[in-house]
Amino acid sequence: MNAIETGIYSALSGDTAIYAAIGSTAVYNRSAPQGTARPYIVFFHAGGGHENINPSDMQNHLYLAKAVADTPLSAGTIDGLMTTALHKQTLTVSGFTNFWTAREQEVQITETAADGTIIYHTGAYYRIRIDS
Amino acid sequence: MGVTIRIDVDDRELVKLINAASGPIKPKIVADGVNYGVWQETGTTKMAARPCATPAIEAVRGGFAQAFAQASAITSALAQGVVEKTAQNVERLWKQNIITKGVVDTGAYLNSVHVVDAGTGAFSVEFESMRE
Repeated sequence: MNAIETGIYSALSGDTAIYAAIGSTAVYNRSAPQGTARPYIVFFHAGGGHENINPSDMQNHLYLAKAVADTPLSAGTIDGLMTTALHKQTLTVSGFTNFWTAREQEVQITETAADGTIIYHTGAYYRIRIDS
Repeated sequence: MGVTIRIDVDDRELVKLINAASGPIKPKIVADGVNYGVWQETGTTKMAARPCATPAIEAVRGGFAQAFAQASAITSALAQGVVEKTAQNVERLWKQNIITKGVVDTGAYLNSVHVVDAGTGAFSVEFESMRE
């Protein structure tokens, strides 16, 4: 994990309300291992990069963080807790100052597994801006 | 003895004419034509996400906003050009990401990404002029 991803992971896995909602620190970067019990959280880099508009190392990234659960209520509850943990918060990003973290577009998708089980993905894109 | 001359300029008709001549700016939509494009973008319980559209949008976001930074100075034709060029750049970068990220694809996803004047796709991005 890079410094930003470490910061996101720490914010989500270290949140006591999220821990209580998912019953563990089931927070995964990029993808969860096959067969992981739901609910869990997945986040990954969706876009963005270096701004290159000044001599410092300013970066502007977009991450998608979503709850994966068996019910829309569970997915929505965890999504709400993720908002509290990330939106307008300051992440600890080693070597950088996180001056902007904000929730943007919402994501709500329903996945139908091969056995007919419906799985709910609920989350949002978060814009994270850092500077050295 | 001094003479005062007062001139009232009524330019309401002129403004009407200018506004009518400039015309509305047509928005463009960048869309894919497959129903699994959204899963490539957000991932499933069985597959990690391989975002292709979002990084393309992020790559053009800065230039798009910069083009409209002085919205009052930009002409209608120029604004239309910016919208069309931005949409074409998103299409190109989206396709480039499908290739470089190793998305498993028969070619259906790659070939379905396109710019249209109207309509919707399974996962679409709309660019509208920021000019008033």
